[in-house]
Amino acid sequence: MPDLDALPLMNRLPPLANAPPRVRILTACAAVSLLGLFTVHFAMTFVYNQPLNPVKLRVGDTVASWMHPYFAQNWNLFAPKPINENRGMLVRARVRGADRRVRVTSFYDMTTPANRDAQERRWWPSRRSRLVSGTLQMLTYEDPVALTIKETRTRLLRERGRRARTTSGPDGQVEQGLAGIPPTSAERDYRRRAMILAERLASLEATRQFGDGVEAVQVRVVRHAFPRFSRRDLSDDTGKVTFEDLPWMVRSR
Amino acid sequence: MSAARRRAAVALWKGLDDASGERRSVLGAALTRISLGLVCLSFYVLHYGDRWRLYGPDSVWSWENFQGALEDAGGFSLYEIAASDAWFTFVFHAGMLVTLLFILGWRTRLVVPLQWVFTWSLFQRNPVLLDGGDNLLVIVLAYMMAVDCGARLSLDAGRRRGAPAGDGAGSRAVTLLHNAGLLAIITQVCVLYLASALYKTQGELWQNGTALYYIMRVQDFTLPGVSEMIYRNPLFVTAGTYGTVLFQLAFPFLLLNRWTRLLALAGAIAMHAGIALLMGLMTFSWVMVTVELPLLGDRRLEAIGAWLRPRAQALRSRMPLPAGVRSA
Repeated sequence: MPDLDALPLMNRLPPLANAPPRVRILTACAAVSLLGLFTVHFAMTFVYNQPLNPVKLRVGDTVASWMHPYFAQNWNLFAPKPINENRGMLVRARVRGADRRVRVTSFYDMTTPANRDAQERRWWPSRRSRLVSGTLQMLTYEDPVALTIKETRTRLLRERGRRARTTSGPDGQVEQGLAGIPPTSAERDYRRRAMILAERLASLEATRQFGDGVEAVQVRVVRHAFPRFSRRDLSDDTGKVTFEDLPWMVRSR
Repeated sequence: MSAARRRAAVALWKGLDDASGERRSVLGAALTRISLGLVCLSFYVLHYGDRWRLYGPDSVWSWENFQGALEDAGGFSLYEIAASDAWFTFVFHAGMLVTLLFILGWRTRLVVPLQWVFTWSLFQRNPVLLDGGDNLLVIVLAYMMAVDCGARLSLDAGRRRGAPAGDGAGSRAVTLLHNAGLLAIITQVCVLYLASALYKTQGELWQNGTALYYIMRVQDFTLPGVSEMIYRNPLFVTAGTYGTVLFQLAFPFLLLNRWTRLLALAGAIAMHAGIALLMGLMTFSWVMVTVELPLLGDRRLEAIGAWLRPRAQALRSRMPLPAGVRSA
């Protein structure tokens, strides 16, 4: 059997018209089935990647089951709403000292060293520094569809002259969303995994900073929203800083 | 049969003959293979010292998270087979070896699927490290299985040169598959740009031309000393914001014509160079440009190679290198 890949390089095969009928029929069959597969797959890919619309609402589940998991993709980074804030992750720890007494440390900033690391190795960076920013991204994740609904509802409420309520649980529970909409299942999954990740990462760093006596860690998420573009040069508008403290978490190792 | 129908049949027949008779962009595909392979290699080599913390059984992406996310998505990962140190060490190093063979172009028909399996597995082990470039990379690797990417710049090239060429139905089917695979890659890129543009057009900050200001101000995406000059300038911010959306919307349509295709490629290279320099998203930009490279066509790539070769040689002969390196 000839090597199927041993095509004369940069060369054409002899014209198909001169090939025996069997070859011609088989080639045509292969082309038709390939074309069919290609069309279906990219129709799916196209619909899958659209913003939410009536067609997607109708066939979205079918499309997703075709695409997942191996062709899953997401191209709405920075859109429709680009990230407009800096995020920081701080950790403090409950440490048992040599005298068996427990003390609580002050907060240690994990983001600045990670950023410095990324800047120093800018041109071929290790992705190690993405652990911190990735954790923050997961902790602050908002389902894009839920976000659209929330924003629309908030706008409607504002238009009716009512202020949108922002409810924030006591010891930093999941934010209830602008108009009191509960988190979606995707947001809950993200949050749960993000907490485990945050504990791991914070425990590693806390142990490095505060020694092996670390028993529990608490993560503080700081968000610094930038002033709007038109107010970028006003010295009295440096943006808005908010923070959220996650519950204390027992060190896993 | 009417004349019109006969003409249509002839055109169809010619299209079939073209698509099944000549493998397009084999050089471009080989470059894509090598270039994507280097990105994959960076996951192993740059993180080698951190491999336990990033990918090991006791990684910061805990076993529970790893399994849970995998189960939700419904995929597999070789790393999931056992939570032991020995298995992790084996899979990680096997993946590294496969990546090397992939770059060198050894038995690509076998190694490309393996490369997809190992890369997919590694990406599932710690998704926190990934970005859109990695997302595209693993999808393109799947399409590369159809593509004959080992015809040039490979260990296979020598072996294949002497072999008898097949011109039966099998060889034609493989050629069809190759061309379809290349088309799939570029179609995927078009869908990417279109989707990205459509989402942007829905956003208020993209509409009013200030989105770039917010993005460039984020510390993760800042080039100290330069970004600030750009994001404070109304002209740069507005032009950059609208330019991005316009380019992404136009890209698929620019491909329809042979000459505007070059414009699309130039635009992509400019945009991704900007993203790489200013925002520090090196591998993302690298993957995007790499994947679009076959659009240049092999004839142009050959011309660029022919232009580069004597210059590279002149440069090499001027450099004081050990004799062994120079002869290589």
